Amino acid sequence: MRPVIKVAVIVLALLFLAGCWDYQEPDQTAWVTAIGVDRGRENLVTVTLQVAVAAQVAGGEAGAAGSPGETTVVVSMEAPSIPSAVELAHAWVSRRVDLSHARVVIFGRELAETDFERFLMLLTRDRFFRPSTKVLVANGRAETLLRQGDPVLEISPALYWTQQTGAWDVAEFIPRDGFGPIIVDTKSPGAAALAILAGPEREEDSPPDPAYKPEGSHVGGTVPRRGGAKIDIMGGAVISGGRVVGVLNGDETGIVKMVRGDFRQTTKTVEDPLHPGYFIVVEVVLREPPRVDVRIDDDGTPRAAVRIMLEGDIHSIQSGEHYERPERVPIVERAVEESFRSDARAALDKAQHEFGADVFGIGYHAKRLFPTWPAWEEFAWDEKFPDAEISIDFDFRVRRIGLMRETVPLR
Amino acid sequence: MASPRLGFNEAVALTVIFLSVKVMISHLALMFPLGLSATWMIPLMHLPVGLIGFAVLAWLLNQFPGRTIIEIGEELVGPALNIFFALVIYVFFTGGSALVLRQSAEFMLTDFFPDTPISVVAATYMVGAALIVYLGLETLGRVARIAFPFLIIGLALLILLTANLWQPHGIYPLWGPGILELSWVALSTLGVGVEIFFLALAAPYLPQGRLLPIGLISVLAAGLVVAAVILASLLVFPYPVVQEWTLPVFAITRAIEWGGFFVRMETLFLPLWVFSALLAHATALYLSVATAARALKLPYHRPFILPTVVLILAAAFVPPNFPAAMDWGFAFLVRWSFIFLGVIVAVLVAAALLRKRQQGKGGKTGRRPGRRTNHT
Repeated sequence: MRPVIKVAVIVLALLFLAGCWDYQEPDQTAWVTAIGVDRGRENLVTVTLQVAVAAQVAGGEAGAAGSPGETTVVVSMEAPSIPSAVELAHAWVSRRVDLSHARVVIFGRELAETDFERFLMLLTRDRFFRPSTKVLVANGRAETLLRQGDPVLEISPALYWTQQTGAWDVAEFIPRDGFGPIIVDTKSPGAAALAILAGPEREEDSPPDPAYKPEGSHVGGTVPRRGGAKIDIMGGAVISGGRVVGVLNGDETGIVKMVRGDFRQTTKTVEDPLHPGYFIVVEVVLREPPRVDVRIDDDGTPRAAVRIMLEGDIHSIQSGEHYERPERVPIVERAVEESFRSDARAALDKAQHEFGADVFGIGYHAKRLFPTWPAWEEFAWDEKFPDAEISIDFDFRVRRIGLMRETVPLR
Repeated sequence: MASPRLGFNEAVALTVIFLSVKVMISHLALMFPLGLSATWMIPLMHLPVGLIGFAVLAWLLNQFPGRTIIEIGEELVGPALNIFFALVIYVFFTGGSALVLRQSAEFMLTDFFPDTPISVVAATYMVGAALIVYLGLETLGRVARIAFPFLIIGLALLILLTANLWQPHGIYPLWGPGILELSWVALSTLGVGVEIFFLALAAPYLPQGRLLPIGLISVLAAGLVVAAVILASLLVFPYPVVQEWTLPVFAITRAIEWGGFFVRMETLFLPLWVFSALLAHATALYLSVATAARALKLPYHRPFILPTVVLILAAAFVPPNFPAAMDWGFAFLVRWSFIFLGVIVAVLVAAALLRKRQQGKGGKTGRRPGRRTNHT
């Protein structure tokens, strides 16, 4: 080929590199960081968009945490669908609204309990949402949640949502899954999905009751606290049959994560078995992936034995009892195991008898027993799950005892 | 003018890319409803048939060294029937290329350039393909050889980056629709391997005596690549969800998530789609124009490039929409292509055997000296 033609081809190719039709200027774009979807008041849905104020986010000092510069603006609108609402937003948003940086989609509980599936499906088809986008269910209206959901500790609202929902690995009460696995669990026979449950900070304190309560005994919107962000994230919303069928509290969510293999660590405060009213605090991590053995009886009843292997460190022994000694360590281990067993019984009871939904994903283990899909579908796991005999057992080992070898009593 | 040469590695690279490019378009999406959780086994079940089929084709080509399948056809069945065979081959590769082009362009619009006119995307692909084909088979082979490691490493990296999302239950129930049904699905989708026909037109330019290993290695490698991609798709999005995506491999690319910052990786892998599709379009275009040139006994294929590009672009816009392009592409390339091209090869093999037998009775060897045509 002659050099002139080569140069002409290269120059022509350069013209395409800059892009012509799909260019998008960042300063002409309104980046949506969170989307709320509720049952509509004047149309089918109320869609709430949390839009990042780019100048504040990028401004550093001006928009720093704690300063008066707001990093988000929240707009709600009534529309027949989410994409229609995005178009409608241009009626008062001066920039081109872009959803590609939306970190979370929050569904109001009322909508989630009735028509969840039809709005969840948008996330699969639309190129703006990726499988890692987090799905939250608001314990109330998503609009209320987003109006209160100003970032705390973060300048960027997108980073706030990423960090907040990404804490699943340090807090057992936050479910792990983005919408990708949720879609899989929702559409596959043999499992139900678990979405993050969020709620607006409670408005009033509960009546005084200083008795022991596990920290995970709450759900989003009921966490006893004051100050900080206006949103709580705790527990999970169980999705089955295309709608939310119930919620699990923080501890029950932790059990589900353990059975599914998503659990990383938690802090457990258990009552001292030898000194009632005193507590032992342990840090618990997963020792091995969970073992789930499923078999089907001749009468078609599924039997599942789940074994969770955990290990951890002792953080505190209030009573000063010398549990650190090798021969006494098993006392702590049995107490922790019993505490988890109690949570597991509650979670199992809810899943089997209240929701009738296999949120543990035990069906995924059962389907290995079937050679073909027709046989697996004919077995109808979801119908048999409520009557399945399921046991969840725990094997906890204390590995370390912190910086103290033993406790010397106070005098 | 010197005859082009295609080295061993170049031929393997080009053939593997041409055979494997189907994982980058929507054919996979239509395989999952057939193979269910056992879809990954289908390419492995294709392998024995593909290897034996190519061995038969290689035997035929080796009977007539230095000739392509078009010239062999003229020798064996005469010009009248052979021109019909050539027309079928030309229509197949032109039509197939058009359907793949439409899918590639639609994919670009759906996922990357929603505001760009589809004609611009399709034309850009074909300009690139035409340029490569204009420069000849050697250029095509060299481009493939250079791109091959990047494409393979890129694809392997893509699959490995999804490892933290794998759900082992995705491959269960192990036998999907059942062994019999699965076997029938494998049989009815043998068309996924007809791109191996490229070697039937490139045979005279390959290293002497290496046709069989080139074909066997290519079929084996492509089968493993396709099986690996299907397996990864099933592990990330177990059936039935995996069948929802128009492009499963792109769906798993979008799912990559290693921490809060290592996400949105699809742009990083965009060159995989662009270059594999470009090479596949160029190879299909070469096949079409080479077929036309050989059938009409012309020493050059270049005069056919522009008309064939125009034909491909025109045919690409015949399907009224993306779903139609997917369905037509699957029916044409996966379901029926094996019948069209298989019948041609079977007739030629039968004719060759017959002639060999007759010549054996007459005391002749049955082999004729080869003649290389100078093509560029």
